[in-house]
Amino acid sequence: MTDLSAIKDALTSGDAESVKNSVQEAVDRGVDADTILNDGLISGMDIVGEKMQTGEMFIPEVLMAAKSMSEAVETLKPFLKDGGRNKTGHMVIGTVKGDLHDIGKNLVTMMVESAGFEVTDLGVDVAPEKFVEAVREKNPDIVALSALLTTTMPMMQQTVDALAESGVRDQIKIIVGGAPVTQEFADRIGADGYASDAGGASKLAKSLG
Amino acid sequence: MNPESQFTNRTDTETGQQENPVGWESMLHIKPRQRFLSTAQILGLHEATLSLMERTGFKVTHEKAKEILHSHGASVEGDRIRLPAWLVEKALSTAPSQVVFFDRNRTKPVILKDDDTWYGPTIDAFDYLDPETGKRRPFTLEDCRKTTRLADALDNFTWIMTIGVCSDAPSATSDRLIAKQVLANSTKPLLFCCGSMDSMRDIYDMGVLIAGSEERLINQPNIIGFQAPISPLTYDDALIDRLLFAAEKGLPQVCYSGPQAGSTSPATLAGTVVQGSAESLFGIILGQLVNPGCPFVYGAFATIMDMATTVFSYGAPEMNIMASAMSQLAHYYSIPFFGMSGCSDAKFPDSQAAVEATFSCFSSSMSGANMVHDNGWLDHSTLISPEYMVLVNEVIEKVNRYMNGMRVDEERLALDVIDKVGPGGHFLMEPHTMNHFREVWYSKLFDRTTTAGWRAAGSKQFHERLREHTLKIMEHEPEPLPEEIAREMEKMEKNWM
Repeated sequence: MTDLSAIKDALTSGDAESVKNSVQEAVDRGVDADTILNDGLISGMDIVGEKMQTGEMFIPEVLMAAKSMSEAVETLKPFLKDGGRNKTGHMVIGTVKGDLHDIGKNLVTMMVESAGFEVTDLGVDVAPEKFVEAVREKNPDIVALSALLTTTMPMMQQTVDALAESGVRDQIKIIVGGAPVTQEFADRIGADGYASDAGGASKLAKSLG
Repeated sequence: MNPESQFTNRTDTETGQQENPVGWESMLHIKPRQRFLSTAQILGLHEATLSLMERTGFKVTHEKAKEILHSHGASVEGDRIRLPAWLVEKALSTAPSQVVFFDRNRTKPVILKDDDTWYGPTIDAFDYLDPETGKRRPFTLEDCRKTTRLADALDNFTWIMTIGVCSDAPSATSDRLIAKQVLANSTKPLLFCCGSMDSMRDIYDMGVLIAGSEERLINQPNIIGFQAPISPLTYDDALIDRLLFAAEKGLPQVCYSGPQAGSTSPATLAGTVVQGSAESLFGIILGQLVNPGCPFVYGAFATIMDMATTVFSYGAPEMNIMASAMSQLAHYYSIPFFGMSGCSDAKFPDSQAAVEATFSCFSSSMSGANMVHDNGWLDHSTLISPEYMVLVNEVIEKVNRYMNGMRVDEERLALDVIDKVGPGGHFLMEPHTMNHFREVWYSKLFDRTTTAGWRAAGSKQFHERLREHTLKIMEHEPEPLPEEIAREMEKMEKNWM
């Protein structure tokens, strides 16, 4: 069993420099890159997620950890078996048409990326047909819809319907979130999942992806 | 405009140097502060106080006190003592503007000065609201141990009082037994209340024992006396004995009457403030005459009588008005002020209790009250509740955060990071955010979770979380007294019987 606790400790302290150094040190020791990724970085981020849940770590620290993880993955890429292409999953995300709010969507993006997902961010004010197009092009596992306004929540329904009508609904899982969105609403519009915060969204993505 | 220097258009073009372009220094740290009275109102209350002391005066039967007062120019007619204005002002001029006391280890001073506010618990509750059972019952010596340990654990209680009257100890010695219990179970400075001179001496002796010498006790006191004259305008012999004892030793003491508007003082707030102020000042003056410079804390528990029930209210807004006015008078006299907060007429640590505590803590800090007691007291001074102590501790923390205001300087105006992020971006990943987000206060009690998170944590309402949190804090183990001192105190106790 290879000791990768230094990587995990560095991640939970949100220190990008020491994450990089401890990853490099493991590479130098001859530890397999995929092991470093899975047992060091990804399992370190799981600890970060738990610490966020218990209130021991705050969002900016979690995001710093996430950022230092993605930087470390870059340095690992040449050594990974598949060159780092094999992600946990792929998510397409966007704020639905008519809604320009993006802080919640950005938080989810960063959290989901830190869980090892590839994320295609379509931005804000994204029309249903744009989501359909992205699914066809990118072939994601998950489509995530964000809305802050109660007035744009119906657009989530329209987006889900558009994905169904275009015939791609069965290829994907749809998850929804945003301040006014609830589990009941998610069930009603036929989404596959709902999370009340970014940490929850990351967990949800892992369980569906 | 040159993007490298956002102040170019305000800069001296010759040097190109920006010199404090918007006056940073004067804006550095803004703290809220309330001025309750105008200068004219302060002078009006002061003049009225002088007039009361000269015209009506006080009832004193203590012969030695009468002699002292008479020899300094007071008029003595039987038991009625009247003080000329010049004597009042002369005597008050020697009262220290700053009063300092310490914890048992002499490492954490409480410094009563300026607008600084230091909160503490209470005295003489009859009943205990047990957080384990939810039942109310008479307060015991064991409850004193528990509540003292709790107060020792609560960060915003910076000093301590004896909290309750123990029902399971002989009344002649119970004041000493609870003082001993508190001294053994908390390192925080003790404001003690006692009856007889024997008690006063015995508690003082415990203070000397813990300090190591009388000189050290006086130089760095960890005990403070408490004298409560009777409204209206009466100083009883036992109180004067204790007051003179502490004054001669130089031990800090609080002189604090309890005028009740409508019954033991006029129904009007201004009249009650004047009377309460005169009652406190009289004791301070007597102390200054026997030992100029001896430390006092000034104040009065001025509140209203509830004319529907005769209750002496601990939640009336008029109580806070009068305390705020007296706090300002204290600043005028340059003597620290003894205030009250975190107390309620409610019977449980419920919504009413929370509202009344928040109101009085906020008002106390805003008015710059220095030493503020009664935090955690319910049912107009009859009931102590550990849960309420914990709730009020959290209220104080929130108020303290508010009172700390905000800094306005170049780093905190953050124009560079705003410019870096620009329109439509976000600040979550900026080092500036990492450097400052922890300046925000987080409560251990007040809930801000998402509904889903709250459900996941067991859907607990506030009173349930408060109870659990309280029981957890009550596991706190205080630093014990050194063994020798503890043994010596046991010996002392045997002599009280």
